[in-house]
Amino acid sequence: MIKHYLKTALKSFSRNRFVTFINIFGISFTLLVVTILFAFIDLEWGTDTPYEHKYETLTLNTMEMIAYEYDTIYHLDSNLINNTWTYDTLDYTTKKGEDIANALANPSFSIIKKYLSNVRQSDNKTFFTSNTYNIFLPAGKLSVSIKYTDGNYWDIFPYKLLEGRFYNEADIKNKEAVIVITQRLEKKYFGDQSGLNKTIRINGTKWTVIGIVQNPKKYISDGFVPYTHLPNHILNDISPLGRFTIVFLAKNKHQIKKIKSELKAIQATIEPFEDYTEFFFFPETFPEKFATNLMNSNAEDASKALQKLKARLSLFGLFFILLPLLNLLNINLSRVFERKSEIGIRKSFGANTTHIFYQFLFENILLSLAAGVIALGASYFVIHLINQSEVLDNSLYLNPTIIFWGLVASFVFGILFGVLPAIRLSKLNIVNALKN
Amino acid sequence: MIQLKKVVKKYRTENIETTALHDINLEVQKGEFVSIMGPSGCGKSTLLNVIGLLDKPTEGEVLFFDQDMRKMSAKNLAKFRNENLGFIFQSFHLINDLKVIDNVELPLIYRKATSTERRRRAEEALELVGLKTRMNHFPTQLSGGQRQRVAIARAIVGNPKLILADEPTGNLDSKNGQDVMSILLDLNQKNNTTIIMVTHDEAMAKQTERLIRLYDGAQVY
Ligand SMILES: Nc1ncnc2c1ncn2[C@@H]1O[C@H](COP(=O)(O)OP(=O)(O)O)[C@@H](O)[C@H]1O
Ligand SMILES: [Mg+2]
Repeated sequence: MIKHYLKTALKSFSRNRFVTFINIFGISFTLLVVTILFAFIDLEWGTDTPYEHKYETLTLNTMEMIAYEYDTIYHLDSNLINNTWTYDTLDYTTKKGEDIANALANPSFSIIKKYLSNVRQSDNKTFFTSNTYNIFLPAGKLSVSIKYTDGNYWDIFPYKLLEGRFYNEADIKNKEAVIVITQRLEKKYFGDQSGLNKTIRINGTKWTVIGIVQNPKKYISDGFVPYTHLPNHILNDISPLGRFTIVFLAKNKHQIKKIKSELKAIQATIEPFEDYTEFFFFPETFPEKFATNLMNSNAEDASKALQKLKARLSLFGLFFILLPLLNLLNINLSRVFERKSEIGIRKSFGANTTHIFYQFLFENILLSLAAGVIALGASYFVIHLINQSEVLDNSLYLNPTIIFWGLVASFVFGILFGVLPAIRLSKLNIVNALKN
Repeated sequence: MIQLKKVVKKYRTENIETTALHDINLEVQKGEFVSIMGPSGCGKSTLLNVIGLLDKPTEGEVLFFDQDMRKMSAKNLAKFRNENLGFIFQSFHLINDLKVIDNVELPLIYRKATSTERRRRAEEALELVGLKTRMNHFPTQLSGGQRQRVAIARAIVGNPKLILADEPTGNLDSKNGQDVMSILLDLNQKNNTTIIMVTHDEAMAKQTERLIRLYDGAQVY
């Protein structure tokens, strides 16, 4: 029976080559775009190493401080000079009012030390800052990004250690010149040799490589060193604003809320700095951060931005899926209607609705499968091209789950547009189906 | 074998109601070869479709082996058609996407049969109509007479008890028409297959043992 269906399907496909091509092309192109799109989305939203805790963290890298300025009161005075009245204005500043001066930046080390070292609601936290340096190799200049972190960094961002070890509290306290580097830097700096226990010269310091970590999918940094190596003007800066990022670890959403409100309480206790008297932390969860970045809105409206982003994405997605769907619907309908008399013939010789259903289901599975295989090959190829071209710092990967669901979706569309019309036709009066 | 009792068939299209069959009473015995004649539009095809269970009568009963067919589910009707009936249409109605042999196998596809068994029986049927050498052709590569013989092979492959032929020679020249007629006569005489055939051709009708004349949807005697 399958063989019979296969014969019918193949002949019908080859007879309608153009329609079959459009069909397969339509499905596979949609699948291709979806898989590539999801590879990008996965890159941002996935929880691959070292982002296992992505959705359990709260990141604080923006704070604002506000100084209230004295109100200006305009005062009009008049004099009679040379028989004409002249006016001159005088300003008086008497009280602090609506006018404000504000500054927005990352928190400084002094804020971390003084106010954030003991956030009770958080299970764990880390802080870090980064800098970019040029290093000179025989092959040419290499620009590397180095993160200065505390020891907790490795708990919250559990990198995969390939060789050696991470630095610990003792290394940090003793200001050991140790560095953990990524595979990528190891390859660039040491070629095919192992870099473990060798030294790297960056920014005038000779760092001993104590650990090598796997390249994360999403590029973050090339090397990691104890934050105690930061220059004193950074570590001893008394200004609230600086250059650090603090990441709090929470168990769940509820705890994240608690941390947020604790931070609100803490910001009220920050002592005035120069004219600045009010301070605000803008902690964000990962999705909020993503939304504010993308929507170009400020951190204060994080959750609103996230809502807007979601709405836009769903609209976009709907449009994206609807368009090829309508196309496929049209093509499939005509493909099925063209076979009305075949259905009539089959029914007069004993086929029932179930038989017709299986036949058309089989055909659509064939089509979708062909499209799926093509889409798979094409996405693999396109992703390979993107990775090769190195336009992105990151590597894209094909996500098997996405491909699976893409295939499922194309089966569903196939059933919807290829099989349901066939069933409707098969319920038609046979005599009518046989009429040309 | 077949009984039609007070069969009425009406077609309703928008405001017009056509009565295609008026109060038809008919009995066909096993092994009979019946031809139906009548002017165009008098309801011959409608009658054949009602007997062949392709269409339901508006009123009246159709009985096969004393069994009322109105009570059968669509699925069982399909099974009944598959096991008991074979159709031959004026315009052949072959599936052009399938080779001759696969067209002939069609009724067996919807039965429990191994593919070798299907193949064997289809070849036998084609042998009988003299087209075994053409089994790997597609219908479009055959002449009208050949196509109708393929259609006959398809109608007989499942050993039906009743063959329903709607103007099987209508699209054929007299030579090809007579070939088709001879095959049908042979089937009736050798296999004792019951045949009901609609025809326009007096010469064909004369060769059958019984003739039913229809006029305006009613039997004339
Ligand atoms: N599906 C249909 N809808 C409406 N009227 C129909 C339909 N089929 C047949 N008729 C009408 O029923 C009558 C009998 O048709 P038919 O059985 O095809 O005649 P014949 O086969 O004798 O030429 C005709 O008047 C025809 O127009
Ligand atoms: Mg007719």
